[in-house]
Amino acid sequence: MMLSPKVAWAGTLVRVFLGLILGWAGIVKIRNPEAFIKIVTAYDLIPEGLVVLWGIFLPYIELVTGLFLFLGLWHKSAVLCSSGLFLIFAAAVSINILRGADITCGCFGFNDTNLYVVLFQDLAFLLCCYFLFFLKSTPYSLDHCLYTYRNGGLS
Amino acid sequence: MLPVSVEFHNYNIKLILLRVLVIQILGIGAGLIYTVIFSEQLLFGEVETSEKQYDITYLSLEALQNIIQSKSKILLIDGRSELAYQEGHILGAVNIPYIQRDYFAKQLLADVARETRIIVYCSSKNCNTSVELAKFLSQKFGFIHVRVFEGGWEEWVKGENPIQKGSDR
Repeated sequence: MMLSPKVAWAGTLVRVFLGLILGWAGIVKIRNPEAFIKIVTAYDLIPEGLVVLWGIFLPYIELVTGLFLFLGLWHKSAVLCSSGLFLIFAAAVSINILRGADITCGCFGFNDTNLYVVLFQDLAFLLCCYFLFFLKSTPYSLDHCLYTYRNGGLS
Repeated sequence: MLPVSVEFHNYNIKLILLRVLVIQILGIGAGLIYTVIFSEQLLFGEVETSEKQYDITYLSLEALQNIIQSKSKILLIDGRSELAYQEGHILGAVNIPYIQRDYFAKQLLADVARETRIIVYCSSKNCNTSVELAKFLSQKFGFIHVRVFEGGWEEWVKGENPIQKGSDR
């Protein structure tokens, strides 16, 4: 099956965009872990003992997933990882919207707080993941390079 | 241009899931290494998430009650939504919903002296908009004495303290 060049290029753009978004979100949190842990605590969804671990490791998982997406390595697995992350974020935000909690999002900086906008964002990103998942792969990715390398160059 | 064929991998679900696991492990590994090297106290010590980090003073319920009873001149700010505020708020508090903080702060605080003692609260101990609002008021509006009532509305109501309903703005 061949993709139309437009769809393939759209896939590459979406992949790179999502990779950058996840990477950026991870870096912002890594730079200020205490603030992020405080926000995770405010979400009030994780047992107290796990809050610190979640607050420490989640940003790195975001960063690594973002890197894989950006580079286009292990396409489907990276897309699955990012879908999982966006699904978790959307669920956490939805629960707090239902609770009527007045908390800040903690997504890309620490001042954004309109949880409805954040939920919409997460769902839009999830939709992008769905699109990417069914593309299976996109041009200009490490997957492509590895494939052409293994097969002795471009045919 | 590179080919755009998508059938160059024989995808199998086990391999995909294994790679998902590897990505997670890489993330956790990177986090572990970085944290152990650069901020070990996060893993093995107390995480400082309040006063020092935000440079903000917190008030207990008793402290707030004492301040109110002493009739000191303070400005009490409710950082919750308009709806929550109208359903009930601490007696005498004005409402600056965090989401619309810019607009309401300009409307309500334009003529307030920067030395005024301000106390901010939100819904409970778990909300963080009071802290963010306090930071916003100190940094953007230059208020010097901004404090946060940590227990928030929940603790105030539990203690059967004086409340008020409706809009006061």
